[in-house]
Amino acid sequence: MKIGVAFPETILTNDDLAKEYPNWDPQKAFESTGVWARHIAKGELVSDLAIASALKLFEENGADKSEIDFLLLCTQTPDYIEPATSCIIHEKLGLKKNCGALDFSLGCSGFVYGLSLAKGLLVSDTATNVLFIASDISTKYVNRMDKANRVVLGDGAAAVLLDADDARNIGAFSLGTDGSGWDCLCIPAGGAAMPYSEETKIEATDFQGNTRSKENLFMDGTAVYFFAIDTVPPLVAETLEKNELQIDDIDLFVFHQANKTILNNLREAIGIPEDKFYINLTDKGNTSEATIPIALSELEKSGRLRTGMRVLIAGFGVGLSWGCTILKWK
Amino acid sequence: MDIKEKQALFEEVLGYEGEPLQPAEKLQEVIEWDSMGIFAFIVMLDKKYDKRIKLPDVVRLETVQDALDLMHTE
Repeated sequence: MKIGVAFPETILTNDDLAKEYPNWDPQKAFESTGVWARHIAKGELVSDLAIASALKLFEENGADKSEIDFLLLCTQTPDYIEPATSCIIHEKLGLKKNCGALDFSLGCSGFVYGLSLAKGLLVSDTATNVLFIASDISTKYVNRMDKANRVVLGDGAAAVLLDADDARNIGAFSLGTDGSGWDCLCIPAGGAAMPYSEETKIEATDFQGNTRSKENLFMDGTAVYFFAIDTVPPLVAETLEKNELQIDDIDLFVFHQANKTILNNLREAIGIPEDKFYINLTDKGNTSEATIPIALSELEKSGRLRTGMRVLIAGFGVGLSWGCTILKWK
Repeated sequence: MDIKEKQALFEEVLGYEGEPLQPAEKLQEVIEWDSMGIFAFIVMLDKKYDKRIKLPDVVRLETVQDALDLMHTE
């Protein structure tokens, strides 16, 4: 699987945030979340980051874009309500006309879902080369005075190119949804259910000192934490069983990089050895659906992820939604 | 775990390093009782005491003593 990644130019460090928030300890924030810096989209759109990640993919791997016959985009922060941002990306990348283009809206579980869609397209002979991009600029919707979300979230994109051979190296999937938790992580206003209005612009500060309006991203961190702790361990067990593998057969575990506390507690709960579990939020934070492919790219470039290794990937979050599969790296 | 040990654990979880907190102290006046501190407290209650509380439960806590009172197994 070939991967290209891209980030916005602007970098915001914990020291930068400390200048805005009196009595806020940047080091403590780092120890708690694992994040020291994150990239912030200033003028960049999701399509800009998506295109940059795809161009990086083409450049680093010598991929032939004329062979791409399906473009999938996972994003929750599209350029427009309509049309699909994938159509804009298709045009700007100069992909051929007989190439499908499709957006789907998922966050933290989105990369796993995208692989399941790509695999379906490839094994059904609907497509022969799928370009799948995960791109998000969630920080655009975070209130400047929402410390909790501002410290954890970052923007970024990752593009992967898959053919039938890659599809054979993607194992069986476990996917799930619990829509009862839709409001644990959401941007309430801006859609048809709650159009922007004077009322949706009104800001309020919660008892934890975080300010936001209905037009900003809201996350009930506690609810999301308990959801992850309850859902991910059985999800991993189910996926191992579906793939007829044991936990010891897995060389690397790459979970959605939510935050350090959630990841460490999941690792402990599942019993994954520390040296097989990847955590790296330090210089980019939680980039939503892009965290898993960004992590895979880092692991491959560092030499920790090599051909023949088995990698279990798990995404979980907004929706609430979750997904898991096992890749045989090639 | 006696009250002093509980208090020490509470301070450690919040990352509080000042003079020992007084039971009657208002949580809203403790700088470390912010979103990160509250999250760490809730995670600790779950892991150590097998007790789950939600954010609305946290809103009702007024003093350090209120928080300490939650630190026991049902």
